[in-house]
Amino acid sequence: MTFDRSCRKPGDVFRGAAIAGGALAIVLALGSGCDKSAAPAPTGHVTIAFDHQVSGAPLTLNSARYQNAAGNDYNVFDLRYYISGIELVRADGSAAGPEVFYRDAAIETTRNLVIEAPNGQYTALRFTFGVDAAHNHQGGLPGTVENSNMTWPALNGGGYHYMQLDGRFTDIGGQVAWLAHLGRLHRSTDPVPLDPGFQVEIPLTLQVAVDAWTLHVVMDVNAWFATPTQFDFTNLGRENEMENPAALQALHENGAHVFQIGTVVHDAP
Amino acid sequence: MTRLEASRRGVRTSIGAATAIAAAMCVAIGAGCGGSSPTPPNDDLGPAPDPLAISAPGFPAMVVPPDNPTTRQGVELGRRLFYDTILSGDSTMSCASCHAPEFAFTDHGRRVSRGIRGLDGRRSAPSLTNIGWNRAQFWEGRRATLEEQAGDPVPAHDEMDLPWTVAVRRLQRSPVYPALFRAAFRTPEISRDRTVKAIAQFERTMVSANSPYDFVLRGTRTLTASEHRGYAMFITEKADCFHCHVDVMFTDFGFQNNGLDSIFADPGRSVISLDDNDIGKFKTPTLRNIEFTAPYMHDGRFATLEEVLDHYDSHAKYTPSLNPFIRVNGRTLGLSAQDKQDLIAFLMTLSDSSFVNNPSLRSPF
Repeated sequence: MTFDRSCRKPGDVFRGAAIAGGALAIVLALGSGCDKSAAPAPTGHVTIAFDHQVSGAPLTLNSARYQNAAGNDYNVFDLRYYISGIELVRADGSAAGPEVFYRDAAIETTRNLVIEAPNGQYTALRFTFGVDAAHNHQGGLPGTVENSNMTWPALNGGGYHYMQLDGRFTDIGGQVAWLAHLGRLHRSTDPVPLDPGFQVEIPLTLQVAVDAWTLHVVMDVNAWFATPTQFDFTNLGRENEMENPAALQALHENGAHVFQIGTVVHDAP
Repeated sequence: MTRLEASRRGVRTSIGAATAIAAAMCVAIGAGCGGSSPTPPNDDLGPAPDPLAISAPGFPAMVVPPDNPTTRQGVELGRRLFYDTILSGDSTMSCASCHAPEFAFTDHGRRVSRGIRGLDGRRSAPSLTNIGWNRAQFWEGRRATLEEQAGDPVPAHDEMDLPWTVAVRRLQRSPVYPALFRAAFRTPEISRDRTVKAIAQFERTMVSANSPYDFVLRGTRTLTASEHRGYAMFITEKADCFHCHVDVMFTDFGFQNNGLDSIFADPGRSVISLDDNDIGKFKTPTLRNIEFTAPYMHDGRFATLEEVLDHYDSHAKYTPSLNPFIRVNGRTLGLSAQDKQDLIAFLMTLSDSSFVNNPSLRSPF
C-alpha cells in the first residue's frame, strides 16, 4: 500500500500532538482510503522531528539568554509555526506527510510527524514554511485553540500566522519586546500581498526498506536574524513588525538558511 | 458607517445566510441540533433524560466530558442547584450570590467576591460567559473541568462553607431533589459527583453569541466609524489586544502576566505549575460582556475600562514572565483619548443583552 500525494485527502490536517499520540494508527487509517485492489507495496516509517537550536545550543524558552548577529542580547518566549506540504522526495514518487503541521516549541507532543514511506531511495526532504494557500484563510484549519491563537489579523490579510517567534531583548531602557511574526500581509493599502512563506528542500540520502527512521530537522533561531539581512531588534523587530514589509521581507529571505538536517537515526530494522 | 464584513468574508461564508437570521445559540433537545444519542427504552429507572446539543455559529465545538453528557433534565436540575441557598452553611448563599446573571455572572461589581457571613475572598468572581469552552477553571486554572470547579466553593470556609457530606444529606432529605436527580441521572441517590455534574451541565448553557459584534459577523449589522476604528486597533499591533483576546471567543484560553505588579502578592499560575516562568500569570478572560463585569483584573483593581486601557498603554510593569506583547520600559501604545474612546466603543459591541437577560439562565425560584 502506498501513501503518496494522490492518497492524501482534503482535510488531512494534523497537529503534532495527534501524530505523536498515535502516529502509526493514524497513518494506516489514512492509507485505507486508497485503492485497496492494488497490491500493498512494502513501506517503512520516517519520523520527522522538528528541533530548535540557537547557534548550536538547544533552545530553552524564557530563561536562557542568547545573542544574535546584530549583538542583541535576547530571550525567547514563543516559537510556534506551521509547515505545509511535507514530502520525502524520491525519483519515482514522493511520500507525503500531513498537509499542514503545527509545531509549538513549548509543547513536546507537537515535535514529531510520521510519514509512511514506500521502500526506496529518498534524496531530499521538501516542505513549505507557513500555511499553504489552500488553508490560509479564516476557518481554513480546524477550529482548535492552537489554530485560533495563530490567527493573522483580518485587516492585515487574514488567515494564520506562519510563525510566532518573540521574546525580549536588552535595550537602553531595559527589557523590551522583539517580534518575528510572519504572515501574509495584504492590507487594503497594499497593491499586492507580501507572502513571506518559502519552500525548503534539504538534500539527504535515505534508503527505506521496511524499516523506521527518524530525521531530525533543526531550526536555528539565530539564522532568522543573520543572512542576508542582519535583523536588529532595535529597528526591524520592534513593535508593528507584523505590518512592516521590510521586516517580513528580511525574515522571508533569511528563512532560506534556517533549516538543516540534524541527526538521522535508524530506529528499527 | 464602515462595513467590517468585507474583511471577514471567511466567517460570513462559514456562518451562511440561513444561520445569519437564526438564533445564535443552539441549545436543542433531541436531534434538532445534531449530536444527540439514541434514547434508550424506558425501564424501572424511568425515562432517559433528553440530550441537549450546545453550539453557536462561528464558535468552535464545545468539548463535553463523555461521563457527563448535557441533558434537559440535568440542566434544569443544575439551574435549580445554582440558585439554591441550600448549598451554603447558613442557607443564605448560592452560586448565583457571586455569579449574578445581570453582571454576566460576576459578583455585583464587587472588587473581590463576597462569601458567607460577609467574608471577602481574595479574587474577583470571574464571568461565566461561554464558560463551557474554557480549558481551565479559576483565575490560576487549578481545576480543569466545570465539574471539578463546582466542587470547590461549597465547602470553602470563605465562600459557602458547607461540607459536601452535609450538602448531600440536605439534598437527599429535600422534598424535591430526589425526583429531580432521578430524572437527570436515573437514580434518586444523590451524591457530590452528581450534584457538581448537574451544575456543570447548567453552566455549559451559559452561551453568549448574540452581541452586536456577532451580528456584524453575520452581516446583519455594521460597525459605526468609532467602533471600526476601535476594532482596527484591537486586531492590529496598534493596540495589540488580539494576540491574547483572540476573536471569536476573545480569549486565548491561556495564562498571561499582563504587567500588573513588580512583586506579586498573588503569584497566580505558578502556584499550580510550580514554574517560575508562570509567576504573576492569570487566565486570560474573555472580553465578551466586559461592559457588565467591572471591576477588572483578577483582583478587581481597575474600576473602569479607561483604567484598563491606561494600564496597557503605558503603566505596565516589567517582570521576567511578562507577556511579550505588553509595552514597558519606555515603550507605550501611544493611545490618544480618541483611540481609547474608540477601543471602548468596539468593546461595547461585545455586550450581549440577550445573554444577561436570558430567562432560561435566571433563577427558577
